[in-house]
Amino acid sequence: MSKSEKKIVLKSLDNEAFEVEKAVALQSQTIWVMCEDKCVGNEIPLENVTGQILAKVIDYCKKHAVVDGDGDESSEELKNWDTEFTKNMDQSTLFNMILAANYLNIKSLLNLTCQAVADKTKTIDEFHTFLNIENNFTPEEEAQICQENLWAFDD
Amino acid sequence: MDSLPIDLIHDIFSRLPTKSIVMSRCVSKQWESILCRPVFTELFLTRPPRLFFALKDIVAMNGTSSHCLRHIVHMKGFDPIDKQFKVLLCMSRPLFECDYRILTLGTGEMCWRKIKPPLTHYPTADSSQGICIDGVLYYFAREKDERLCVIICFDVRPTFELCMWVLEDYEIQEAPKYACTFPDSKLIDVDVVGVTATGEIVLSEIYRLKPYYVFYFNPESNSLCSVKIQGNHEVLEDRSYQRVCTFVDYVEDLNFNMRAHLLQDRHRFESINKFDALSLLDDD
Repeated sequence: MSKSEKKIVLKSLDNEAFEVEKAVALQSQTIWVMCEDKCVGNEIPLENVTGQILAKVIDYCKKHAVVDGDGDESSEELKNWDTEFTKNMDQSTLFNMILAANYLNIKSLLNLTCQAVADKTKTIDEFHTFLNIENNFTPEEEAQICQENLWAFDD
Repeated sequence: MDSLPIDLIHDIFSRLPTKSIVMSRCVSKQWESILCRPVFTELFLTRPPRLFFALKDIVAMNGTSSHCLRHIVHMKGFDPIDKQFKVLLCMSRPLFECDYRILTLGTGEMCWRKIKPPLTHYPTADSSQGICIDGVLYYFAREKDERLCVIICFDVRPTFELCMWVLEDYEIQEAPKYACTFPDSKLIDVDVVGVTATGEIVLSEIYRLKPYYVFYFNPESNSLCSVKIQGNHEVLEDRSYQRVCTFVDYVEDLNFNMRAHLLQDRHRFESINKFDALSLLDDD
């Protein structure tokens, strides 16, 4: 296999190009299918992902690219790395990461980011504001549904 | 974030506490509909279960059991086809036939349907925690003459069916046999407390010990995972030997509508917050 075949170029929505090892990129099922079908050349345009997010996704994939060997210690280490990875992301970055992981079909990253969003949700009201949920119940309907689910509002 | 596909919304919400989910249902019509779909309930059930522990003094237990004339056993099962919870209730009294009833949760109706199984049997006391695998409840019972111990398989799926295995000298030909090995020091008394939605059988230690362990046995991969229970250990501080009851299915039914049940059945129930309350049912 020549050197060029081992590398792959991923191009973001805002035309940022990232050259990565094929093994790193193939963690994405979407890219894997594209390569398998030979429907793309060495450059893959990813129209749903910005460069800023793609850079983070690639960081994740590099860390998680299959490494030979050690069992428990490395998996423990990987777990800690994952925690650190999402620790300082704000909710909006996390949501973009979720969308990217979903689009690129990287199961473990999707799992990690969804869990991180859930863990970071301190109060549900704040989460509703963030999700832009608008209350369209009439006051009567709202009173009724809250009454029906009263137990959830107890402290 | 309007662009989030529904399956991702389901994924995120299924990881939140039950209270947050219910509160989110009360926010808008759209969210109420999104978070009430059976597919969401199913996903929620596949998340690692939340365990609920209760302690009871053995002394107190012995004291009260002799006064109990009527024996009620109820078990909860999940029907994976209709995606509903069903409760099986067996009431037996000396000199009377055993009464068996079924309740479907989440339908808005509080109606115990009487059923007649082909075999009269009396669930044993500890079988109130029967286990449910793929919509079939398994529990221990005794036959009418009270001698033969049987395993009852009760199918909670739409076609009700009851079959049983008789334990003769503990040689069961057709029943799948699972063997699990506990870590050396852990060869202690455990109870089978239930099954997770992913098919793992949950075992917990019977007595309050420190450290306290819960075990997840996966029959498919034949592997055992020990989970050390941390936190809230003040409660478990050593005082005397106490029995621990572990509940696998603690508040998992998102569709259980308290108010509707309270209004319809106020005279029947003293309180409704746990499924234990269901045993307060009056006689006809």
